[in-house]
Amino acid sequence: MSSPRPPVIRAERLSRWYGDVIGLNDVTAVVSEGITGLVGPNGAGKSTFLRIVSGELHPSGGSVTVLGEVPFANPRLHRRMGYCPEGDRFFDDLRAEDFVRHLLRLSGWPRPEARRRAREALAEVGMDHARDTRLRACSKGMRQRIKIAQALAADPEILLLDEPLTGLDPVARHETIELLRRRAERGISILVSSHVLHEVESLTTRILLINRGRIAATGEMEEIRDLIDRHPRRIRLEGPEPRRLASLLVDREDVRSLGFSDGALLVETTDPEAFYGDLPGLLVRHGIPLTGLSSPDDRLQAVFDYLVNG
Amino acid sequence: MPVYDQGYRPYEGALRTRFLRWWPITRRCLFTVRKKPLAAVLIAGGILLLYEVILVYATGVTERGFSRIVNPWGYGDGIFYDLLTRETYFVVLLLMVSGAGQIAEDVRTGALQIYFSKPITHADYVLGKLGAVVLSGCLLTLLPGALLFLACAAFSPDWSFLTGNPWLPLRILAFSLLISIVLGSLVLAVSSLGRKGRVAAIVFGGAYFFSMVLGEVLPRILADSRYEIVHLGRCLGAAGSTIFTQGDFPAGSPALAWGILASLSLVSVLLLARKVKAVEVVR
Repeated sequence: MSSPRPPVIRAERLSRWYGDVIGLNDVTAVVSEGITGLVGPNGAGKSTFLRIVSGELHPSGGSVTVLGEVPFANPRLHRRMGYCPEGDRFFDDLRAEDFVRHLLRLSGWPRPEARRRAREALAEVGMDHARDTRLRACSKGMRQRIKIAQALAADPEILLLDEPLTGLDPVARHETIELLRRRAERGISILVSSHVLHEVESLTTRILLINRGRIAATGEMEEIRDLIDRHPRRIRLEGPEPRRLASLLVDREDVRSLGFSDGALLVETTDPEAFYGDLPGLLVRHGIPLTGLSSPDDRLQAVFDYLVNG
Repeated sequence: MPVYDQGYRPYEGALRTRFLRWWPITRRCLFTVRKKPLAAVLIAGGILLLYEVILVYATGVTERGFSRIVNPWGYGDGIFYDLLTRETYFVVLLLMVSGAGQIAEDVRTGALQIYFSKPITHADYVLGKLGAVVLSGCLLTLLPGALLFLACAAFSPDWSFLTGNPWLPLRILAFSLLISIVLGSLVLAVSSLGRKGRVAAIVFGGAYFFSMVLGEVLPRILADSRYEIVHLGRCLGAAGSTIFTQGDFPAGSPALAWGILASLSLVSVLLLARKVKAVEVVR
């Protein structure tokens, strides 16, 4: 009987300080094979977590293993890992192909093989037409895809992607998501960070929520959503008759509170699904016009606030 | 079936454990040096200095007869020592242009993150950068020295130049490496302290020329010529004088110079080891 595989990433009480600032605070998490989304608002600690996992940073406290090995200063592990950092202002004098080839050479690939792989990787991300374009002449979206190409080119077993979809147009975003899915189907484990929940939802159902350097929740997206749905949701209704609208809503069981802000009606509901379902009929029946409808709680920050402050 | 149950894809690449893992970094850095017009001007200037040195020596011997013109090499290795010590200024200027930004720019642009996600160690990275600055320095020391050696050998009427100077190529190599390694490690250490190449260039150049001023002023104030080795160029010259058995330094100066240069290089390397990290400190 074969021994069970180790988790792809295992973090135990992981902490990292930058001087007086805590980047990551006592994080314990396990990431298993497949695609996992690392989700959190800006400054939550996603990049710090990825930098520690990629072996770029040494943790200030706790421990982390990737594919069963300690990542910091571990070239043997780096051969099995592809990393796409968030920044993209580097090597701007290099052509796209030279950039990918240079990094493959660093990984030990022989020159002809490095050239072949660089071309293949660029073609895979849809950048074969731009392989002779210098990085400084590339758009943000092009650079993102070229960065992904360099991470994929060495056939890694695990991919760490820091905000890989930022700056991509919808078509490129769709293509990149499909590309990552294809790679995952071939058995690569992918940890992808994002501050946009629906981006991650389009890639995976398994997420790791991080906020203020701490893990707020882990699990399947549905579980997280259920958790969120158990909390009241704020909805902002804009129109010429907010007080009349409030009088119609005040008796609803799911409405926990009503308030006014800048001429708009703010509703706090414990059952947003039912509220959204009933609202159009109510408005039509009473002839109340509505000029705007939004939910401040759709922002990811609000989700984290719910989960953290509960 | 969930995709993640399909297991890892086997690693099929024919990867080699590269002994010279730092070489791609050196190549990449030399590529950026090649792109700088000012670096090309300085290298051309440094090589032109070779002809000036030849001319000075040739002119100096004309008074002693035609035979000495075609064989000015009777001066032994002094001409090589003079050439290399004078090239030191060009090396400093070249490193200001091409070496000062090597690490600072990588820190600023985040290239360190990419480098350290690849299977190289921090030592490989530093060696790669050091390789680039040392090779740049050698363009202005070893190359002119080698060209002068070839010229001497070519114009010598017989084999006496080659037979009389069997250790000269090694001496040229040793002094070239000394200049390039000391100045190269220093410029990289300065580069690792900040995020802007231009600031690092100013600090490095300023430190060198400040030492030059001190080397002029201190011996006069303290009435002791030994203090002239606080000038980094003179310090290199004093150490080089033991390689070429040339120069006119007060007793004990060459040994002290070696001590200063070794300490300076050690401090630079320690600083590099401490500072080369892909960390952004958030305040």
